[in-house]
Amino acid sequence: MTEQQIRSIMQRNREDGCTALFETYYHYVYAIVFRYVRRYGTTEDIEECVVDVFAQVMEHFPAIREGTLKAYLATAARNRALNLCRTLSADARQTVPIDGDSFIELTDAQDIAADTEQRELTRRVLDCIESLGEPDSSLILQRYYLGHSAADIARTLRMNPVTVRSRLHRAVKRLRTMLEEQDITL
Amino acid sequence: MKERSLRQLLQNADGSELERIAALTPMTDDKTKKRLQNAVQRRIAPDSFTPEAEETGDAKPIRHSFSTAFSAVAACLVIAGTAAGAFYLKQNAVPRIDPASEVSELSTEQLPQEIVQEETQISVDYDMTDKMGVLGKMLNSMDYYSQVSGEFVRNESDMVNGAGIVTFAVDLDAWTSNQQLVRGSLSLPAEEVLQGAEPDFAAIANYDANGGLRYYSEGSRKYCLFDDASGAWYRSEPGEAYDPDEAKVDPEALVQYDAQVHANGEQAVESFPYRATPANAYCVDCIYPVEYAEYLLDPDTWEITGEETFLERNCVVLQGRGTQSELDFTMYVDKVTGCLLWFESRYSSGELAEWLRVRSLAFDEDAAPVTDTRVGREEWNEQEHTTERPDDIPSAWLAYGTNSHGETYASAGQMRLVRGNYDQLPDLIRFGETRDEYGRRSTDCFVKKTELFELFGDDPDTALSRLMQAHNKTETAVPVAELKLYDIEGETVVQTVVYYDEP
Repeated sequence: MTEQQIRSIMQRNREDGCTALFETYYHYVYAIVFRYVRRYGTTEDIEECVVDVFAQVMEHFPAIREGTLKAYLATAARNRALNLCRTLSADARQTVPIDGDSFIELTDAQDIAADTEQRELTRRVLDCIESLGEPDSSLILQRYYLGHSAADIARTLRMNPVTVRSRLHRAVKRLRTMLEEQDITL
Repeated sequence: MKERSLRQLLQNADGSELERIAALTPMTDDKTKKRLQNAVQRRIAPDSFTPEAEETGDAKPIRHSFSTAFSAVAACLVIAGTAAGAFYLKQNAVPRIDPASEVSELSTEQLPQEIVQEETQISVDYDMTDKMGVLGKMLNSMDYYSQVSGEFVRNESDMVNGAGIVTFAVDLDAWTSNQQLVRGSLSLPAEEVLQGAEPDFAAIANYDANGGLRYYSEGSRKYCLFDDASGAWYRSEPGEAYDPDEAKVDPEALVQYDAQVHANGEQAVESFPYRATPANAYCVDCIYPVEYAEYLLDPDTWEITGEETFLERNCVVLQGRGTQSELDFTMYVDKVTGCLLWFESRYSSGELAEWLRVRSLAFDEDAAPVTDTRVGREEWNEQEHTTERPDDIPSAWLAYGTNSHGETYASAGQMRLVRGNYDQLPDLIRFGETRDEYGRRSTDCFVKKTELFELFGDDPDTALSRLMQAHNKTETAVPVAELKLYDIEGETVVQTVVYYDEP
């Protein structure tokens, strides 16, 4: 759904608008929050943060400039996630840098060139994953981005756990071959 | 390029990569998404933000409500034994057959589709304090492990005080298995072996040279080494291809179907819904105990009587009486995987009938790997049901028993090996047995080879196939032949079986 469509629904009915907003951006917001909070918090913390983000966006929705809704959501998600990380790390006596970028686990975090290379590499890996097609691309990301078990993946993707295991095995093999052709070794 | 971790690469994705990831795969299941959406709706509802509500905790229900929600979901999905859990399984996870409609029209010709769930059906965390949960896990045990290895000892019903040890390793990911059966006649009482005594095979039966069979399977093809000494390996024709999207079996629908079959006056479900497994031979008794699950199809005849720890695994204990055999049985079923770790059935006299005891069992990372026992063998004999048979069957296989008249006799297992070769068939071919008042096997019944072939012709395949069709009687069939069954001496007629044909 486009931002314009969401705004249109929101004008007619706030609750329906909220549903439209959630349906459109839920997985994106969750992915952002997960990206930051996974190291510091639980699944419950991640889910709480996701709800906070949407509640915040809904509260400020009339003030969000047209054309910036997705960016606003992403920023809100990132900031909320970072704040939560700081709270959680304070509880755990860990240190969370103010700059969220330092969460990125670069091979050489001080090196901008390495940062660029890392992003390019991630992009190419994602290209390969995407080219695997469904459901293999989804299986790879469930396993290696979200860290889910075969049983969790089966539940999320509504597949047989045996199927998940066998397909994942084959998908990783295919992915590795594709990456090796691009001189990327995993 | 430096070696990197796929996990690290993906989890460091940011910006537009995160958007791509979110577009490629759902971050959570639909239930979680719906729950969070409801939480957002509650948060933005006008009356949720009143100070009074906030003070009582109602207005900021996220963590609190999540705990509640988690509890509710856990109660429904995970925590075994709650009524809510059972209700969830019955109402949502497992499709049901309406007893008043579809079941009444079922026949044994074809299994109702409802018994196997759609391939998109979610994985069920069966409630192992519920009968249907136990049955469901046994019928779908392969969903709960990827690799398994172990060993068990069990009775061999066609031998006197017979027992067999099955050693196996199975890999569902690679779709391979190897297994070995060694069998013989126990010197010890079976009761002692069941209680843990070391099986004693001092008197190996004349089953084959080494008292053993070895299987290896890979993909849809199965390889069997009947006789290690002769080096004769047989391989099957490729079977049906492995279907990774195979549907799971719905226990509740199967129970209802079985009830309907019996209500129609039929004996049992003819086409039991077996799932594909690379463990295609002996070890299924333990790791895919679907044959034993048949004892449980009438839930009124058995109970979950408790729990036991066996081989350091938590098991539910099932006790009841088989509807067909009228034997009292006890089973230990592993709570995590549905595998069978202990089975015993007894006659009404208390005497042991069938039994199985697992001696070791390991799953996944603890499991022993599957080894290819065919190494070094490149030429294959096709298995028994093809036309290519060895002309010269190892004599060890033909070490038949001999009665007091010098006539040879053989078990069903031996007969299968030489099927198709008239000269190598024994004089007396075992057909079945009679039972005494306690249901115990009392007299072994044999047909005479000469009479069998006189009745059904000279082709051994045809004759042996017809031999097994004694009970195929339909409403319109008429009796066409009779075959006498003798005792082991070939003297006394124990029974007469009637053969029917369509007019």
